[in-house]
Amino acid sequence: MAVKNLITKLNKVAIVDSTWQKKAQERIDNKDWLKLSAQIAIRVLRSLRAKGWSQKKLAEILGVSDQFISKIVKGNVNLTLETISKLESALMIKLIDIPRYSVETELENYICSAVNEIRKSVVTERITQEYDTEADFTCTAGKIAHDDNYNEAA
Amino acid sequence: MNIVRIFALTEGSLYTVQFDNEPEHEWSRLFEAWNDITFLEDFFEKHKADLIAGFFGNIDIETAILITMEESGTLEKTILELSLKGKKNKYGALQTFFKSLDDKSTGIIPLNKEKAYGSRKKSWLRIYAIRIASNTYVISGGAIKLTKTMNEREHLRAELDKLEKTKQYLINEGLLDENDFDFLELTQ
Repeated sequence: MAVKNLITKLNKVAIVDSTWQKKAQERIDNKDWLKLSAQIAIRVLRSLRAKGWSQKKLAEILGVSDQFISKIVKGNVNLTLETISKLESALMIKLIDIPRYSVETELENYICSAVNEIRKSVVTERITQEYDTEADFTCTAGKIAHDDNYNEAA
Repeated sequence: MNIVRIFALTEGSLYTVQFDNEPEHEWSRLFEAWNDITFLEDFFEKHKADLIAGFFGNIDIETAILITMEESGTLEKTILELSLKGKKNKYGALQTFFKSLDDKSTGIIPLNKEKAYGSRKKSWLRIYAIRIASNTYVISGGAIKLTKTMNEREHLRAELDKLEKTKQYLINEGLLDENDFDFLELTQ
């Protein structure tokens, strides 16, 4: 039997399923917040395990349904800040932490990324001309004032 | 445990089966499980000793879960892309990604049992399938494999059983003619 015939026969008995492609696409499109949701779910599950609590007990404390907690710990719920705060209080753990904002740090990061771009193009040009691969021109925030290379490039 | 249905994920190249003890087909079941934190946390907790035995380095359960999620996304995307690409270009066919389950086997074997790995160098993700042609595979299941051999753990022995059941199902459906399979494979 030719391979072509095998496939024709296979197609006759197989049910076409295109729903999984939709699910896969959803996972790709929502990748960033799903990762955060997963990290929260892991922390909640590990905390429940450490305390010896059931999901049911957590649902009772929060005054929500068992099904809602079950969805949260699967890691695919787009959680509200209210829910996150309630989970933190009930479990006495920290689930999210906002880094302290500093205008200076943001400015330094901005300057560094611009300087790195310039250096990258300079190094690329130099490598092309001299095959010099050992130079390290990386700029990182907090290092600007002490970085001689920065002054040279600037 | 028996096969009740076969599904075409990409017609002509990627197929999967559904077993009577599962509410959905194997492909769907796998990627749902590998994105379900409850399932993964429970799995790695049960197999903690295998996880930290040394082969995968110093790794905690939280990291293992996140790696699994990340890798399953890449695996799903790669197999889908190959199943489409392989229709036009045999050098991009699914067989370039799958390897024989038996590391020692050489040559083309009719309805060979094969496996695909996750993207990391030491990946624990496996997809198991029966090869019909260079770009035609039937997925029988998959697993998180933390031990050296499949015979060491029950969930991996179950995958060996599913591979055999899938092969037998294809034979029973008349999807193999052993007399001319080798010749046709080599000349396609």
